[in-house]
Amino acid sequence: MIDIGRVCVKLAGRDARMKCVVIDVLENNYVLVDGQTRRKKCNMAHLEPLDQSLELGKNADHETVVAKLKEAGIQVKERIRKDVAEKPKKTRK
Amino acid sequence: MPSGKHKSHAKRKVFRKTPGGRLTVHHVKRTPQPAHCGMCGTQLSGVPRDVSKCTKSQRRPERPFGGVLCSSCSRRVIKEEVHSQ
Repeated sequence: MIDIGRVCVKLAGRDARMKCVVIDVLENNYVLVDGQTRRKKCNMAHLEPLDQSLELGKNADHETVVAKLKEAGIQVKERIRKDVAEKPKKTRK
Repeated sequence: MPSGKHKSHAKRKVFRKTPGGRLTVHHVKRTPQPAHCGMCGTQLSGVPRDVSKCTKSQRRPERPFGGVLCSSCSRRVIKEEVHSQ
């Protein structure tokens, strides 16, 4: 069932159809997921668990999750973060 | 006489009374029907009636099958995809 380390597929949201791993189990049917999806909390009703299960510690960081998924054969796209320039502040004369 | 551009099936005639008491015709563009789910036929949310002037992200929800299937049908399709593999 849905435990820490379980590989799932997201059913809802912008990340639907993407594979993710459960990192932490929260209360009220919520879990924390990471992987091909964004790192965010998700309702268990919106996850479809797969047969695979990985060995992960609680709250593993993104790099560990990516490495473990690569071993299991699931590729994760690299997240390229652009440096956003600071907006010029308007000062009243 | 109405100008040629108004003689179109995409426009309908609305009769309005002016403050001066005269009856005039307004040629009003017809609004399209709301979008429906491709599988179950329920009305889709997140798709406006007239998309001609909307930007790409305003026309449909940002998820797989957005603007084509309703949320429950898309979840069913994704579940079947997962089980069939």
